[in-house]
Amino acid sequence: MEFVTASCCLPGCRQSNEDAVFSGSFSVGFLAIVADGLGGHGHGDAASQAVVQSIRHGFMRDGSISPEGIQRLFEDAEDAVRRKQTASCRMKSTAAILLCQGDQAVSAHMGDSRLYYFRDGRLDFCTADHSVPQMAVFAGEISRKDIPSHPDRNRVLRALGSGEVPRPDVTPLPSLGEHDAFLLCTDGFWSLLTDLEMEVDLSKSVNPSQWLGYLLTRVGRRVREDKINADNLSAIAVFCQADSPVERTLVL
Amino acid sequence: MDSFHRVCLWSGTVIPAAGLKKAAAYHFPWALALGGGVLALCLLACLLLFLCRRRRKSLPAPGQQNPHFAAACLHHTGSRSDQQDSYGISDLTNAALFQRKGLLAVIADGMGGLQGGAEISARIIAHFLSAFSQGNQTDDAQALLAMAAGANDAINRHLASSGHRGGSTLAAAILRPGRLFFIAVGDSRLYLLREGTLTQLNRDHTLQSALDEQAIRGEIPLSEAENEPQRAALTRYIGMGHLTAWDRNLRPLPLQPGDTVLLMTDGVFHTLDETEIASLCKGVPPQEAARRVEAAILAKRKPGQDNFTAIFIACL
Repeated sequence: MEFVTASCCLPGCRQSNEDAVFSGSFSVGFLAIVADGLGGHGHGDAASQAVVQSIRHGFMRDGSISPEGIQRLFEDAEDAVRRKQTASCRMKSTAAILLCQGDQAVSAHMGDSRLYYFRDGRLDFCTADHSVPQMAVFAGEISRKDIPSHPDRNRVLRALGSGEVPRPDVTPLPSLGEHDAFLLCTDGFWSLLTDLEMEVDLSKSVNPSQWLGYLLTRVGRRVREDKINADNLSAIAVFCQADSPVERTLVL
Repeated sequence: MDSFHRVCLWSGTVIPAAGLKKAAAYHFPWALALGGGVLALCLLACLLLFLCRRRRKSLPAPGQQNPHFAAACLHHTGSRSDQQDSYGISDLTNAALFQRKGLLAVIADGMGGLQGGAEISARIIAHFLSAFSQGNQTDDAQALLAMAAGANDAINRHLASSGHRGGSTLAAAILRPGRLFFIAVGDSRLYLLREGTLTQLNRDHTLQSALDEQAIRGEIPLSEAENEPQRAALTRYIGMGHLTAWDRNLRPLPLQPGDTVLLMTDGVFHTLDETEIASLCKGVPPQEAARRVEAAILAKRKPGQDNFTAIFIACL
């Protein structure tokens, strides 16, 4: 399986950008990661960048998508964030990662950055946020689509750098198919879009760059019309393609 | 071309004034009485014409229905003197056509002076309805692309030969049970109404769209996206020459029972916002939705209200 990606990592309306993203194919497999720094009096970018670097190097080194391998990635990332902290600056970070080897994929995350998985154009799986509004969804008090407007949306319940043993949610995803797609994104991005909008724009796109462009146009319009003070917003769009030496002709 | 005939029937229906006052009788010499009578009749005729022109509007077309879809249309000149929108919908009650080809809905908002816009949009609709009923394509995405490209070629030739300037938007969809394909050029819109939320399917081909993407990417300041004077300008339309990039889905969009697909020209959504449209349409059959949307637009009494046209298709 091959992976084509497009990504963005944008400040929105904020002065600084505390999100970080990375995606790449290695001999050991494919990795995509988004991270959203928080707390630390504006130095969240140190935390999110530490998470991305740590997980990237760990995956290149170990090449493991087993539960134990993933736990180690998160524990190393926790240590990396702790090393950046000072007594007065306890920055933390979320992380949402996609690891692929062959046609096997695994999703892992902590915090409220998300991984969406689209199978044959339909949303098949999305991570559940480690946040106060998501707890309300589990309790049946609100529905998932009410999360973006929830007043406690920014209250994240798990994050790297908190000083605890990390507890990522890990989900193996069944055998990847040729038209599968992923969207990893921070909350500044997903909170301004609906699942249906992601599906509609996916159905229109020949490549992930086009998909991201359509989604960003929606986000930009929403920010303008509703006068939103947009948070940092970041996303990685991934298209799966079968390994093939034959040149593919795209019909537009 | 039965469905084309329906398009003509459904546009420009005149509503007669209710009640006519009889002329009073006066005691004059018979010549004066005759003259007075003729004058009165002329005045009455003028009054009748005046009332008819003021109330010139199109009634919503009779709705159509089959076991899978119910449809209704709305078509109004607004406060403009001319109607430059056109629309068409295939015959839902023709079971053989529906089984083979699905349901086609298409709208076009014409631009161009001297009735040019009306002719252009009408030609586009005619092309679609004709090609749809005659063609053998069962690949809906390809069918829409071929019809749109064909319409664009025809309009380009028409404009070249007439020497006029003009063009039109286009929004078209083919629906089958459980699935939708669409294609669009310009700033007419397709929406999906599901569980009370309206989702626009196509991206407007306007400068505003491009500015919104650039602004959120940080390439231009937000103020420029808000204030650019030309931001409503179309970046693509039928009749602008060779078109290669259409806004369309390549893979089917799933439809669920209870969904409503809407096609509309900008006269609708420049007067009502999406929240208003959603609440007017939610939970009511298409004919009622059409009636409510029309009433809401007219109630706004927007100065210079543009032509407005909409097709409402409920998935049963």
